[in-house]
Amino acid sequence: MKIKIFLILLIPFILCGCYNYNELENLSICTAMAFDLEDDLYKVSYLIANAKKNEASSEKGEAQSVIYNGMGKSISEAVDDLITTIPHEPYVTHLKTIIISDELAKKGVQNILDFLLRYPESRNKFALYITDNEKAENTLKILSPIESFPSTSMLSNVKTSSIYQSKAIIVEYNDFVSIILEDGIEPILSSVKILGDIEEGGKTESLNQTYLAATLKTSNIGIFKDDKLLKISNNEETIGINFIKNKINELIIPIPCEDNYIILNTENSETKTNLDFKDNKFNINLDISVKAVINEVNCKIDLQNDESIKKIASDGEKIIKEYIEKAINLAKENKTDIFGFGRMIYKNYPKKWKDLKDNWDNEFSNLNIDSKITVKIKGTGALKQSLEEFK
Amino acid sequence: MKIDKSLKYNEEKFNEYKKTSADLNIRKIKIGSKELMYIFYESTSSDDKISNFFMKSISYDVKNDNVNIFSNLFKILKNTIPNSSLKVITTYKDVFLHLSSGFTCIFIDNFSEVIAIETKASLDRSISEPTTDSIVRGPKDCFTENYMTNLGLIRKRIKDDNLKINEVIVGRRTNTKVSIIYLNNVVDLNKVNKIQKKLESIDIDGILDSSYIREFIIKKSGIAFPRVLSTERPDLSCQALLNGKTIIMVENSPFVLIIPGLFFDFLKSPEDNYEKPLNASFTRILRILSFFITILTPAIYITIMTYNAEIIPDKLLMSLAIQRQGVPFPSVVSVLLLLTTFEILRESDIRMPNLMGSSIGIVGALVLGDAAVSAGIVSPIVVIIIAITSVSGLLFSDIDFVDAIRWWRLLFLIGSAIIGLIGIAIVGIMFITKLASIESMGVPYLSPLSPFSKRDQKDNFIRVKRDKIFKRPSYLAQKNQTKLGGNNEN
Amino acid sequence: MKIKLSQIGSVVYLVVLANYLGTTSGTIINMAKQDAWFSVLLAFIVGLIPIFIFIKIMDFKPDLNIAQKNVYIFGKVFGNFINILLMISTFIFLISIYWTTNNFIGSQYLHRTPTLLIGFCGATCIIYLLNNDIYTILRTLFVLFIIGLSLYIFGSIGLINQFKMDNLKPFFENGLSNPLIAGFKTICYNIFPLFFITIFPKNSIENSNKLTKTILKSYFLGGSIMFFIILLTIGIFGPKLSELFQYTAYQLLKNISLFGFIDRIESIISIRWILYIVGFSVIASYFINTILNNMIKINKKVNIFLNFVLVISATILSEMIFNNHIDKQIFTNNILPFLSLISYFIIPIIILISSKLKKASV
Repeated sequence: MKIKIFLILLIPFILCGCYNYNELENLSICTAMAFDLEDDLYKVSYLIANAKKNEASSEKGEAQSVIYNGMGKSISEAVDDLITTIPHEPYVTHLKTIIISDELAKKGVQNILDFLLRYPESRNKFALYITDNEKAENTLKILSPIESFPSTSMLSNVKTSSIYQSKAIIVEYNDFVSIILEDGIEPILSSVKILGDIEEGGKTESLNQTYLAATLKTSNIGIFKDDKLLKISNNEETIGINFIKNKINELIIPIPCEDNYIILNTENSETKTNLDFKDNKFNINLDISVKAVINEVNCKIDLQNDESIKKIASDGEKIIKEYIEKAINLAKENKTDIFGFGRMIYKNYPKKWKDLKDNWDNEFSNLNIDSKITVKIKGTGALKQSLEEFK
Repeated sequence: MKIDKSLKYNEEKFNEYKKTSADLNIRKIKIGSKELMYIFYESTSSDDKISNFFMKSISYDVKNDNVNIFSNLFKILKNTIPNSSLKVITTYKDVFLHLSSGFTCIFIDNFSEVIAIETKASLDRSISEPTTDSIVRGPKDCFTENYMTNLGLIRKRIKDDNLKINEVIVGRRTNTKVSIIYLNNVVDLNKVNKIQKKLESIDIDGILDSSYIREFIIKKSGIAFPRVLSTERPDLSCQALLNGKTIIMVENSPFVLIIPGLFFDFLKSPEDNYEKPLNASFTRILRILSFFITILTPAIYITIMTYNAEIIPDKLLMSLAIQRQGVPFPSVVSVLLLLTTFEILRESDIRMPNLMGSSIGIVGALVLGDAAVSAGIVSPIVVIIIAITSVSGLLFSDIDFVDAIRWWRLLFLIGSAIIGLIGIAIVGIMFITKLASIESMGVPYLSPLSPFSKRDQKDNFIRVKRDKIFKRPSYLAQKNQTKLGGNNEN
Repeated sequence: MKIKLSQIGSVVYLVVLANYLGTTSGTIINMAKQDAWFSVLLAFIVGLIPIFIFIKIMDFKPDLNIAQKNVYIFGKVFGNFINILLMISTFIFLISIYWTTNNFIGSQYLHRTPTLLIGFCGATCIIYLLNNDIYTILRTLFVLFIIGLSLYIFGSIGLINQFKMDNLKPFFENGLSNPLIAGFKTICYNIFPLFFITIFPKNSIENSNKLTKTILKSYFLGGSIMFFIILLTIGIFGPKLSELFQYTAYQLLKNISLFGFIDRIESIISIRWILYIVGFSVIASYFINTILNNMIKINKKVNIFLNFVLVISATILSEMIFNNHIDKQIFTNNILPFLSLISYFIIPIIILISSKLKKASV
């Protein structure tokens, strides 16, 4: 009797059959997406990595990346249009990067967000970028000789740059969305730029040369208000923004001396933000402590002298303060609180925030931000003294 | 039927019988005025024993020429034959029984009783190394087909008067001796009585091996896991006895049955007790890991490649997709094909005689796998998966256990091919249910994990130092639980 | 053979955590926003009251299970009436949890398979479990408890370093009333169903004088795990995003990153919810089965058929009753707490008081 029941129950197993059964080679693995605005229509491009074997029976093969486009009045329509051109079903779980062109970002990224969040298979840990005066689709066309498909190369490019230059930041999708949803803080994104000839860089033959026709360069940070891009900052403002947000890893600070430069390389930097409420006004105190190493000395200065080291340190402090002032001015002029000071007020003084929150953009301009910077020079590298001094 | 008094009648009867038994030998002697006849099977008796025990003593008595011999030959013979096992039998059935066991039967004229003395020939191999369960350090003797030798190997290790051996004779034609061995003041005597009743109720033509007994004691078969551990090592048997288990030993069989055989016993090896505790724990954990690998790996492979590709790391994704390109079958079919091929290879490796070359197994595997990949039938990673699965399965010594693993591996594969990761979870729950529902002689199969007992974990997944294991397992022994130190009552 | 204490502990743990996935996590984060951790804390402290009521019910007449106790206290007619009420409310609980499970699997894992067929596959597993005797069921549930606990520990290790205390502030921004109501609902979903443990007569448990200690240990273990999960959810996602997701417990696991290279294991770790739900369904079905067996005499073969009908009908009804998930949401938010309150709190209080009166009168 038990066996009969078991057999009857086995029938739905067979009928149920493999609705979701999809062999791996039947999926078009989409590794990067690009969103553009063309003639008032959304243009979506997928970068699909196809598996291609050299011959039918060998074990070796390579990944071949192809870009597909689709256009439509809304994002889903554009994706629909795109699916009609792809040979297999697109598989977006392994998505690595999303690039949004600055035209589209200026119009507002709200439409893109919903589509990507709702899809249940997506893992929201991909990185977002905007382009610096480029078409987003063109960035997908840059092929890299080192990695097997382009989106990995872009990611490692930005990652390296964020660690060694502290200019770019990696913004993951979850963080981006939660910053947009919260009040009192506005989002920022890194941007990318193309150097060289895009037409040549997209061809496979260019991989075989030693000189690359086109490369991808990480550029400065773009500031947003709600979900619209306002402008892309310049170098110094970018560095200042990173200082305030405590995202500095290694940074080159050039200090002018005579007509040359001494270069400091920061090893560790920590920013503490303190909020207090005095005289009916909120004050922000930034406490930045930097540990630096002298990287390059190009003028005549005595590195063994305590005075000269202190002077270098204080020069460094001045330069950092300049960066920070520029960043704060950028935010205040454009009336966006990208640093999240409003959010801090909300978290710590919720009752006072209720009065301020409707007018926070203007109130933010009146916020008093002080900074105190200390630079400690830990060492001078492998040499004890500058070469000029020794001559 | 009782034995006839007249010697002439017996002589005719056995001469008639000799026509269809080529190995029956009959000899008649005359001592004084009495006549003797003794018969034996030449195949099971050894001639020099007969001459040593019987003929010498007869000739001694004849020389002495004692007057009383003639009136009391039976009594004299019974008391003076220098053989330790001497029996007096009264029916023809018993005569044949004893003849087949290697006894010599002495018929005396005018007496209806027969004296049988043991003159067994040694028809067994000597004690050698075990073939199935070999270890590196530790005793290397194993059971043979000789019943008394096997009992001796156990007796000499446990020199306790509480070691009891109950014997039952099973089988109408074979009359095989089956004995139950246990420690009297440790084991639950109800269970022993149950086993004895079951053995006595077996009514079958013949028992040839201990596996026949196993099928009678344990009713269910099929996909189920084995509930009885069979081994040919005496040290493992004695360890089981000391823990409170019962042993069934069958004549003419080198494998003894240990009841109850629980799930975690199949994952242990006797060598764990002879190594250092740390190394033994590591080996045990390795065996548990390989158990999971051998059951789950094909199913996990299928679910990764088809349903849940999000588990694959990014860099591996492209190379897996490239490998799948151009393969004509779906992943499930490739896996099933290679599984079948490896099973065929394994079976042929066991059956092939050593003369033909033992390297065919390895060569076959390598060549088949490589050639199949080059021909484009399977992708390279499937070969690796199936190789890992098969090699992990070789870690377990009991054949029934490995066969049960085979079935469940197939079920997991089907479950994952239908609905992916959830299928593995559902089949996994059914697997655990199946294991938990088995009871071997009243002891739950998954002890000591499932009816959880904290103190038995000391010798289960890991092995703790021997001076920290104080008591016997609680699910086996209810009385006299102290092993180490303290009061070892009788 | 007797039931061991560790098995009762595993039953308590599974029942407490089973309903978290779809019902509790969605409701309390929507109501209490960033103070949801407080509701859970409150719920598990106030929830000690029903626990003690259940233990006292078990102490009275320790050789009868709850169905027989009802008949003993109230007489045949009224006692069976209460038994039928308990059966119906348990059945409705089963329907609700089946809908949640099928929806979860269908939306996260297999989004092309019809949810009814997913339900059938799960039903097969539960029917197979139910057809064994209670000792087998409890042994299996203990192994499931161990697997679920180790998966949880493995998952939490990868998540702890992403916790930001900032996301929990400001505390009690909208006052205390919402967290209190959310706490009450948590008690209704997770703690009141612990009434199922009264189906085991106290005499069938070994070492039954230590029963209270074991129940409390598992209860606090389950409670602390739920507390940590809510804490991690709000701390990692922030209050706005965690309100947005439908199955936060699954989305949370997508953030796991262990040792730098294990980071895509959310499917494997979220299997633990399936194990908890299977444990809950089996105990609830056993509850209904035992009450039916005590009311009518059923022989073994019909019993197997009955289990089959019970589970399959619950699966099919869960598909047909709720038209869309809005209906289910309204049902879960408004009707289910009151159902749970009446059948697992008010009725036990009545039983307890009547038992004391009966004891005094005898």
